[in-house]
Amino acid sequence: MSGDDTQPSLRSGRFTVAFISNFFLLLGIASFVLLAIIWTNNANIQNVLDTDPGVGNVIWATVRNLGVVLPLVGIGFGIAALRISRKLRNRSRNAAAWAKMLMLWLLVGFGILLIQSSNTQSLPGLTPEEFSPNINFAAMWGAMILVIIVAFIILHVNTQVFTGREDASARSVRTAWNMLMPTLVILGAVAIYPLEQIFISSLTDEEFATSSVGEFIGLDNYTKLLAIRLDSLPCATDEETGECQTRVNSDGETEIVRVSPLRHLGDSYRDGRYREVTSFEISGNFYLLSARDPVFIETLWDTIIFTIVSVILELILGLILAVILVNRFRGISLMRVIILIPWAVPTIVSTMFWDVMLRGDQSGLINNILLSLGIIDRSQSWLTDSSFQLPMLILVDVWKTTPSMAIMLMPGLLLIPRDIYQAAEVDGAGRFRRFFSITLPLLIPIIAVATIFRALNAIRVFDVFQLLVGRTRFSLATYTQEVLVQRQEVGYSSAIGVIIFFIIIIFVVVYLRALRVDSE
Amino acid sequence: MRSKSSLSRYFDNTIFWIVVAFFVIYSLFPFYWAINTSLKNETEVTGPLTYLPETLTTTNYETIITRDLFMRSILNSLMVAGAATLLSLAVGVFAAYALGRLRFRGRHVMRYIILAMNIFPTISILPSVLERINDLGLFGSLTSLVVTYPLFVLPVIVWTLVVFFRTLPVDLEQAAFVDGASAIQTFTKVLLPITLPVLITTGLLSFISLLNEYLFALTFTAIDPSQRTVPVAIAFLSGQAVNPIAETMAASMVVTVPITIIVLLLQRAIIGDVTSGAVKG
Repeated sequence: MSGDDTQPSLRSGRFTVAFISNFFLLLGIASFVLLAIIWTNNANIQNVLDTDPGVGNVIWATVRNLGVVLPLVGIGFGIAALRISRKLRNRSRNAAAWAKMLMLWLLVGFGILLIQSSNTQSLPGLTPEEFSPNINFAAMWGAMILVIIVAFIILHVNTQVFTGREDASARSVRTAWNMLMPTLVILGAVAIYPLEQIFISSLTDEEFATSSVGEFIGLDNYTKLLAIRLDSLPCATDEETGECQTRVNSDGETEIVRVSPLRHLGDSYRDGRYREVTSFEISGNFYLLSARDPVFIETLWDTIIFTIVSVILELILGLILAVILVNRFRGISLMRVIILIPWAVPTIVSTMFWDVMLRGDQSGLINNILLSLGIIDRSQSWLTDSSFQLPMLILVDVWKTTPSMAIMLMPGLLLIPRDIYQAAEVDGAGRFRRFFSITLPLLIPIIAVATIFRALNAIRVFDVFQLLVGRTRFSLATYTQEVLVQRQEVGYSSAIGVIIFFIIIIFVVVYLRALRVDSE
Repeated sequence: MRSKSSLSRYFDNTIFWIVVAFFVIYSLFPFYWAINTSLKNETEVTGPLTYLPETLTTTNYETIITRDLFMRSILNSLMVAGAATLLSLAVGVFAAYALGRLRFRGRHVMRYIILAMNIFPTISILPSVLERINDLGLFGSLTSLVVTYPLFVLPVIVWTLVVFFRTLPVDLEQAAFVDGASAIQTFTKVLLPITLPVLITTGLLSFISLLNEYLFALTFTAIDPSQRTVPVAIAFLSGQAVNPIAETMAASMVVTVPITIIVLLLQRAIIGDVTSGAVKG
C-alpha cells in the first residue's frame, strides 16, 4: 500500500465527502418535495381542501388517494437520507456502507418506477389527467438511475476517505437487510398497493356500479357484519286460556308457537335489520340468535368448523403418511408418487371427479356403492342436503390436501438424528412410545408452520365450495366473491377480507405462543 | 438390545402394509373413476353407471392430444409455475436466513409482514392486483403470473425455511466464522447444502400449488388463448367439447403425466441419503 492510501489526501477526501453528503441531503429534500408535489397536485385532495377543509376530511382524502405506504416510505426515506448525510459529513464509515446499500436498492426502486411510468406516464398516487406537466417520467427516472450510478461509483472508489471503525454487528444487520430486500421488493411491488386498498376501502361504502370512490363510513361495514344479539322469546299465549299456543309442524311434531321477534323485540331489532341466524332451547327457555347479516355469521361458523376439522384430520393422516413415506421398502418411489397425485391434479379437475362421484341419484358412484352394500337404503343428495354438505366438503378437502401436509412434515422427520432412536430402542421403548416421546416433540416447530399454512388456506377455501355447492352454502371466500361480484359492494367485501385477516393473525400469534415456537 | 419376537414383528409389518394399502386405495380411487370415464363414449357417460367401459374408446384422448392450445397450456403452466417457484426460492432462502439466523431489530415484525402478504382471500385483492398488473404493462402475458405468484408461495417458503435454519445447530456457523468466512460464505458453503432437501421439498410444494392456481390465471391471461394455463384451459374445455365430462377426465389424466414425472425425478432428491434405515415411529 502506498502512503496515499493510508493517509488519504485531504483534497480528494474533502471533495468526496462533500459530494456524497450533499447528494444525500438533496435526496432527502427531494423525497419531501416530491411528496408535496404529489399532494398538492392531486385533484381529489385539492377538491376537499377547497370545499370542506376539516382536519379529518383532509387526512382521510390523503389516505384515500395516496394510501398509507407511499407517504410513509417517502417520509421514512427522506429522514434516513438526511441522517446519513449528516453522518457522512463526519466521515463515518458505517454511514458510507449504509449509503451504498441504500443507493443499490434505490436503483431497483427507480427501475420499477421506470417500467411503470413507461406504461402510465404518471407519478404514483396520481392519474395522468391529474398531473401531466411536460415531463417525460420515464426519462426522469432513467436520469435518476444514471445519477445514482455515478454517485455510487464515486463513493465506491473513494471509500477509504471514510474512517472510523465498522463494527461487526452493524455489518451483520446490513447483511440481514440486504438478504431481506429482494423478498420485500417482489412482494411490495405487487402486493402493497392491493393490501392497503383493502383496509382503506373497507372503511367506505364503495361500489362497483357507481364510479365514485365511496364515502367514508367509519366502521359501519364491520358493525353490520359482526353485529349479533341473543334474545329470549316467550311463547305466543292463547288469549282465552293464557297458555302457550301449539301447532303441528310439517314433520308431524307438536311445537310451541313463539311470538314474532319483530313485534316483540321492538324498534332496535327492526331498525338494525336483524334477522334470525338460529334458535335453540335451553331448559325450557327459547333463545333466538339474530344478526344483521345472518348469512355472514353462518358462513363464518361453517368456515371455522370446516377449517378446524379438516386441518386436524389432515394433520393426523399427514403424520401417518409422512412416517410411512420416509421408510425404505420395495416400491417406495411409486408409493410417493401415488400419494402425491391427488394434490398434484388441479383442484378444478379433482373437484369435478368428486362432483361426478357424489351425484345425488343412482348415477352417482358413491350412492351406487353404498346402496349395493346395503349401508344406505335410498340415494342421498350428498351435495345439496345441508346436513351432508359440510362433511362432504371436508372429505374432498382432506383427500386433496393430506399429501401436501405429509410432504411438509417429511423433511422434519428426516432431520431427527437417528442415534436418538437407537438409544430409545436400547431402552426398550416401543414403536408408539418412541413416536410420542421422541418424534412428535421434535416435530413441533415444523408441525406448527405446516398447520398454520394449512389453516390459512382452509379458512380461505374457495375452489371446493365454489365448484361443489355453488351459491347454496358459502365459505368466507365465496361469500366475499358473492358480495363483490353479485352485489358489487366493494367496501363491504373488503371488510370481510379484513376480518379474515385479523382472525388469521390472532390465530397465528396465539397458536405460536401456545406451542412455544416463537419464543427465543 | 432387546430383540422383538418374530410374531410381533410380523404383526407390525401387517399393520404397516394395511395402512399403506389403505392410503393407496384412498388416493387412487377417484382416478380409477376418472380413467374409467375417460375411456367411455358419449352415450355411456350419460347413460346408467358402469364400473368398466363397455366399449373401450380412445377418442377422448385423441381429441385432447391433437388440440394444440391445450398442449400449449400444459407448457405454459409448467413454465409459469417453474419460473415463479425458482424466483421465490432464490429470494426466499436469503430472507429466511436473515430472519432465522441473523439478529437485527424488526426481524419479528418483518416475518409477520411477509406472512400478511398471503392472508387475504385471493378474490379480495384481485381487483387491485389487476390494476397493478395494468400499471406494469403486463396484462395478458404470462409474465404477469410470474410476478404475482410469489405472493402465494413466498410466505410459505420463508416461514418453512426459517424453522429449519433455526433448528440447525449454532456451532455450524461458529466453526465457519472462526475460519474467517463472511455471513454470505457461511450461508452458501455451510448452511445451503444441508438445507437442500428442504429447499427441494418446499419448491415442489410451491410448484404444485401454483399449477393449481385458477383465479389470477383466469383474470390476467385468459383473454389470449395461447397464454392460458391448465386450470383455465380445462375450464374453457367444456364449452367446446363433444363429450365434455369424458374429455375433461381425459385432459386431467394427460395433465398428470408431466407432474408424475417431475415428482418421480425429485423424490430421490428429497430423501437423499439421509435415510439409510427406518424412522418408523
